[in-house]
Amino acid sequence: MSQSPPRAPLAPLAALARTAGCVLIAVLAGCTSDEANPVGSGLPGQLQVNTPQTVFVGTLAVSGRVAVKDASLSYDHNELLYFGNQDADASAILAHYDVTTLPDSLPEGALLDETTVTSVKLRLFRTEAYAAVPDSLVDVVHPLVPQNPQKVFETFTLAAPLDVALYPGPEPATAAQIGSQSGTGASVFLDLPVPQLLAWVASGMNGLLIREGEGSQPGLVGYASVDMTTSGYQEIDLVGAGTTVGPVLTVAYRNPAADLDTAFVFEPDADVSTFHVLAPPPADLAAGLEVQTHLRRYPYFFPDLAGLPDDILINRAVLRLAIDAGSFGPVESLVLHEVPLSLLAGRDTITVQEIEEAAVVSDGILAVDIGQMIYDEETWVGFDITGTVQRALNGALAPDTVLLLTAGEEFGGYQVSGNYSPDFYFGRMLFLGTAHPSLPPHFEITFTPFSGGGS
Amino acid sequence: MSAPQRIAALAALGLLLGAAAAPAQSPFALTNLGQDIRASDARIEGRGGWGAAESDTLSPSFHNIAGLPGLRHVAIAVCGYAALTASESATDSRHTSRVTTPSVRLGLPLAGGRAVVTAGFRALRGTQYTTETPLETLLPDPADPLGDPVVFHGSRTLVREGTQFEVPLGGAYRVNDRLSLGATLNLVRGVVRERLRDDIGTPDGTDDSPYVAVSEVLTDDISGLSTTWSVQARPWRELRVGATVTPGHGWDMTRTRDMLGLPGSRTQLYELRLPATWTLGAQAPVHGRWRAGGEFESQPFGDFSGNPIWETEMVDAWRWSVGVERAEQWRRRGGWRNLPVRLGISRQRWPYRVGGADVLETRIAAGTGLTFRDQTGHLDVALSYGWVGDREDNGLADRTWRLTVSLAGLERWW
Repeated sequence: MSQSPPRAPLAPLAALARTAGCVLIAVLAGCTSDEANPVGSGLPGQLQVNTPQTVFVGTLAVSGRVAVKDASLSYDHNELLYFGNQDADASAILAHYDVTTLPDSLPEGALLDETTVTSVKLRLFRTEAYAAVPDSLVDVVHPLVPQNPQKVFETFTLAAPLDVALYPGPEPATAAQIGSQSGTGASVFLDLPVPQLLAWVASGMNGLLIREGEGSQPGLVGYASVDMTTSGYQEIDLVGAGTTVGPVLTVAYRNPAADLDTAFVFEPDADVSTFHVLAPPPADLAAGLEVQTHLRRYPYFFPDLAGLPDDILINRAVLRLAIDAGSFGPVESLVLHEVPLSLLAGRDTITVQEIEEAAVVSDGILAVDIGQMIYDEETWVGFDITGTVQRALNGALAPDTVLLLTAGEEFGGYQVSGNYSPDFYFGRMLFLGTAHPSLPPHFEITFTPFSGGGS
Repeated sequence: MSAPQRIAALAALGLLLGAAAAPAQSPFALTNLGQDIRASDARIEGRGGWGAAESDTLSPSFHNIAGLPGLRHVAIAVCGYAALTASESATDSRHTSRVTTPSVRLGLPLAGGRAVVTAGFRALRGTQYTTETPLETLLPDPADPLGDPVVFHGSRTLVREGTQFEVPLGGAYRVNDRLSLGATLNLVRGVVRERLRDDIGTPDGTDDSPYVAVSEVLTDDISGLSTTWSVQARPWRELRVGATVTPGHGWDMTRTRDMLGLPGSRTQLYELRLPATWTLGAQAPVHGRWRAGGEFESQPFGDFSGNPIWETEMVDAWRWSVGVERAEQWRRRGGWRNLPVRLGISRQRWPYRVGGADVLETRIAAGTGLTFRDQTGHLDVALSYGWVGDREDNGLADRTWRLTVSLAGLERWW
């Protein structure tokens, strides 16, 4: 069956053919196909993908709120001094001065009396968050954060020694009013009458209350506390590094012997905001959701997913919250954390460290300027919690997980600035509650049923 | 085989294997069993595809293993092809390329060549194609989620890929000078995978990430066993005839559905019943170095069962091919006249309809080949051009260039 034995084959031709063959294969192997397009579409396949569907889940399986407090940190830690009123919130400024140290600033043997003290001014330093917009644009650009409102400052001496531990709380009893003056701008200088101030010094209690008087424009304005002299002065409007800030007394002293006038800055040894009127949080999530900073209060909740069908892929899950026009405050981030319910249930307060240790970020929105959003008539903020809902349905999320909505805490990765955290500026982001007839909070869940499901 | 020849052979083999992941073939392969990608060797391809009656110990053919007896050396053959396809539908066109998985066959002579044991690997059918079509979906408006839904735009991508292959193990025996018989046991394996992905973009188009992405994968794993029986005879003078038959057999199918992002999968077991395949061929000298031959192959897929969606489109598949070959000679100073010349034509009906009409393929081919020094092997090439389908009838039409290369090495290893 074999052919006759061959003679010598054609070596050059064989080499040529081998080379040509290799080149042709290489060329063909290197040919690339055009990008895929509709050619061939429509042929019957085995696989069909279902169309995505969207459901709106408004029912919550669990909800509540919790305050963030740390017993080891005092209320006046890392604070601003809030002055004025905003809706249902109002605060005055309390300051205490250890006047026994005052002579240390004066020439040796100096006497404080009406002949040597020519004037005393109480100075307040406004913070940047309340002065970022030029006055000419205040009412246009940022109507909800009070920018440079005209205020009437009434100054009183205290009837009893100041105890900062009592605050936030009612205003203390006062002994006498020693000043009333209107002011605005980055720095407010309040003239205090020298005789009354000397009497205040002599009384030894040395506490002052600066309260908002009638005729003030609305708005809570944050002023620098004395603690910000060493940290956080960059948050203060129009002040250079090293400036002593807080409710400082500037005492003009005249040395008759030397015929010399000198000004001394005398800083308080304690200062605090009263927040003597604080709006209560919404009664429940039906009434609304509140994210309050400074005196931090955060809501938590989780959707009832029991109504979702089996064997579905969560394409997208978005929590949508409609903004309540009663919101106010500086720019803050909003972050949704996955937190075990066991950490929150039955507790009124929790420490930020506990949240940090337990929380996993689900989603966040950096730098929410809620005032601007309201001005722009934006209605919704949305959080993409697709991963959280996917894991919940896939059994990969701990069953007692809830979503805790916080401002941009330091550990969450959504900090607006490295200079302050949510316990610094006071603000209240309010969202409409589940009882709202047309804009309730809801989970918008888009899913695709698995084509192989149900078997 | 000399060292340079070995290097050349290995380089060609490497190119074939390395290019096996080329991206696409005919869109007709997007459905049903996929495209027939069997490649016996370039010698057979060059003359149109007939080889059931082929018996050549210098360039052994595994098309019908009953032709293998007479081998003097261990034979190893590798064959694969690369194709450039231009496809068009009523509205679009596309150029694709693919290099198929090469076949590898081994023949081991026993009893002085009277018997031959053979084993190897051969791709049967393959599918490798992707389509992308625009997609529109109604979803809630992010700006007004509780209002009327709005249209989101995206794309749907379908990828179908996979190869069905067999590992034949068998032998052939020369009963007498006029009759040889052969049989192989074929281990069939393979996979067909469809991946469908819907990507829906962000509504404002400002984000690269899809707003909604859905992807499912359906995988059919194939496991089967078949037998092929062969015969070759020389009933009269130099007329040689051959036949093969692969009886109907079953494939055990494991179907798995996966949805990306969803844990677990759905698995279903079922069986495909494939009809018998039989081939008849003949060849005879016609004049001088020229000989002519032909072959007819039939596989009545009307008897196919096991997949209701496929069954409705199945038709009896057939293929005929005819061609001529001028045998190689080794005359001193013969030059190009020494080269073998092969010409052929084939026509076949695919086993399934597309667009409600039969898919008919016509192919013309030409080829040649060379013997290695010291008769240690053979290199053959074939170039063919084919027409597949009809745009009016099938909604699609292909025009395909195909380059087939095969290497056969003969070696005495002990």
